[in-house]
Amino acid sequence: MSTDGRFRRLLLALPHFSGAGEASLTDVAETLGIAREVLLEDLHALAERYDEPAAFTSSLGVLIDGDAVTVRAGRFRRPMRISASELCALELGLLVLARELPPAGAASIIGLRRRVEALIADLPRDRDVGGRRDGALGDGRHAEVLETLRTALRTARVVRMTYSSAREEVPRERVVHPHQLTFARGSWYVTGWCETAETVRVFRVDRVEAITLTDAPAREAPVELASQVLADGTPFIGGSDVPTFRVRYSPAIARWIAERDGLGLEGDGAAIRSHPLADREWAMRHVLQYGPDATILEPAELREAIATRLQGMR
Amino acid sequence: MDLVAVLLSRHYGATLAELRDEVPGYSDGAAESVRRAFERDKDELRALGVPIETVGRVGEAETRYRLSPAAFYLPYLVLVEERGLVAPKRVDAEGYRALAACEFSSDDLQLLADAARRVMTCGDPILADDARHALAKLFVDVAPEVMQPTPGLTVTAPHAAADPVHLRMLGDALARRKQVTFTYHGIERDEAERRTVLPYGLAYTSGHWYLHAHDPNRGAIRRFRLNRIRELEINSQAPRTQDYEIPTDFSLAAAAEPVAAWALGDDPPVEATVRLQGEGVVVRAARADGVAVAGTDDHVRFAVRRREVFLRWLLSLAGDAVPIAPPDLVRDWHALVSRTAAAHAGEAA
Repeated sequence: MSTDGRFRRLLLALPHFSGAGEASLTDVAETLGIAREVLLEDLHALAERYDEPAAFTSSLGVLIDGDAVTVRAGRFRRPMRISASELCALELGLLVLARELPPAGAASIIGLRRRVEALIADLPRDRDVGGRRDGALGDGRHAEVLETLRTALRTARVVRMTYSSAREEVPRERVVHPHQLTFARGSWYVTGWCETAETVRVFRVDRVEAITLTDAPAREAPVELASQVLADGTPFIGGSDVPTFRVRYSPAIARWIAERDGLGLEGDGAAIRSHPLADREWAMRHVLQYGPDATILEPAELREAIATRLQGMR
Repeated sequence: MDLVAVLLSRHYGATLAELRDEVPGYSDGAAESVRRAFERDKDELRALGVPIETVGRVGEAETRYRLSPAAFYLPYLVLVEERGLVAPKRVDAEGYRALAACEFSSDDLQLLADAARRVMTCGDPILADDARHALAKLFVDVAPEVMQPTPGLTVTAPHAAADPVHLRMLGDALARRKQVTFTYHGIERDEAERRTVLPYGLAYTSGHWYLHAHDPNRGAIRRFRLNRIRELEINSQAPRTQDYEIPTDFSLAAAAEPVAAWALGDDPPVEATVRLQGEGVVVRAARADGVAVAGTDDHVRFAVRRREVFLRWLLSLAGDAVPIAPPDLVRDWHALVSRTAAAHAGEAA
C-alpha cells in the first residue's frame, strides 16, 4: 500500500475522528470516498506505532470500538489546506460549470474560484498552478435553460417549457417533472414526467425555447429510470415495441462511427447499426449529414422518403 | 507523518540535526544518509502540498526548516446564511485558533460540489481523486448535506475514452514543460504517424480530452484527441530543465472554444451565402453559426474552411438550407445532392 496514499487519507480522516465524541468509521469512509476496510487498515497502522517513541505518536490515542472511532491527537485536528493539484481539479470543474451558467452565474464562479484559491497552501513558486486545463460540456448556448433545470432538480420542482421538436415548426408548451439531466454525445438532455404526454419523455435541452420554474413539487423519479434512459449512449425512452431504422455507413466514414458508437466494422470496412425511430425528421437529418456515405437499409419507406426529399432539393 | 508533526510543533522550525533527534525514521542513520532521506521526504511532501520553508542557505548546519500551522492547516469555513454566519467550532489548542476564516454561501458550496462532480466524471482518475479530496477537506466544517451535488445529473462516458495513463503523463509533461512524442492515428486520412510536440494544454471538450500542442515540424498549434494517441513518451533528457515556454498570448480557453467542423483547419475561409428557410429549432440553431445578410429575410453568410464538411452539414438540414453563392460551391452542392440521391435510389444492398 502506498505510503503517500496512506498519509493523504489519514490527513483527511483524522480531523473527522478528532472532534468531540466518537465518529462512525462507515460514515467517515463514505464522506471521504474511501473504502471502509482501507481506512480501518490505515487507522490500525497508525495505532500499531505506539511502541515507537515520537513527537506525534506519543500524544496520540486511537480507539476503535466496532464502527465507533475516536482519535486523540495534538496534531492533524484540522485538514491540510487545498493542494495545488486539488485546486487545479476544482478549477477545471468550475470552468466547465461556468459555461453551463448564464453570465451572472458565470461571474460568480470567477469570484468563487478566487476564494477557493485562498484555501490553498502557499507552495514554493517552482510549481505550475492552474491555467493548463480547460473544459466545457456542450456549446454553452443554453445556459439559462440548464441553470433552471439544475435548480428544478435541486429543489424537486416542476418546470413549464416551450419545446420545439425537430419535426414541428411551432413549439409546444410542456409541463415537466425533471428526473435527470444527462450529457451524452455532445448534447444535454432532460428526462422527466411530461404532464402533456402523460409519460416519461426525453427532451433535448437545445430545443427548449423558454423555461419557467414553478412552485409545484415534482413527482419522484421511477427507480428503474437510469437504466432505461440510455440507449447505446443516447438518451431515449422506449421499449421493445419502438420501431428502429438500420443504417449502413460506408468504409469512407465507418471508422468515425465505429469510434463514436463502439462498433466493429463489417468485412468490407463499412459499419452498420440500428437506431430507435422515434422521430422521422431526426432520422432523415441524421442520415443526410453523411451525404452518399450513409444509406438506410430498412425500413424501405424511410429510404424512399429520403430519396423523395433529395429530389425536392435538386 | 512524524516529520510533519515535528515541524508543526516547532514555531521557529528545526535544523537537520534536531530533526534527526526527533523524527524516528532518521534517528539511526548517518548524517549524510539522513540528509538525503530528508531531502527526498521534503520534496515528496511539497509535491503533496505541504509548504515546508527553508530558512537560511541550503546545506548549512544552522539552516532551519519550518512549517507554519497557518500555512499548513485549512482555514475555518464560515457558512453565510440569510440568518447570519454559521462558524465551525474552533479547535481549542494553540496553532489552530489563529487560523483564518473564509466565508462561503450554501450556493457556493453546491457549486463546488457540482464542479467536483464534473471532474469526477471526466475520465481522469487523478483529477477525480484530487477533486474528491478537496471536497473531503471542506466537509470537516460543513455538513455533507450542504455540499450535495445536483441530484440526477449524469455525464456519460464516450465509447472511446482517453487512456488515464496518457492523461497522467501529459499532465506531468505539461507541468514540467517537457516535449512528448507519440503515434497519432489521424482518423481523417486513416494513417498513423509519429509526432513530436510541445504540450500547451489539456482540454476536456464535450466529453473528450484533447491535447493542444505546438508542432515544431508544422510550425503551428494542433489539437490531438487523446483516445487516438498511442506509444506516448516524455522526453527523458534533462528532466529538471524545461524544454520550452508556453507563449503568453496562447489562450487555452480560446483554443478549446467549440467550433463548427466546417470552420476548422488552416485553409483560407471562403464566404458562403445560404438561404435558410423555416422557423424550426434546427434552422434557428444553424442561423446562429453565421451572420444574417442585411436587406434579406433568410440569407445567412458563413466563413467556410472545409467545403465538403459544410455542404454535408447543409444537407443535414434536410431541405431547409440551399447555398446560393459562390457559384463553384453551388455547383458542388448540386453534385453532392445528386450523389446522395443516387445512393438512396433503388433497393437497399
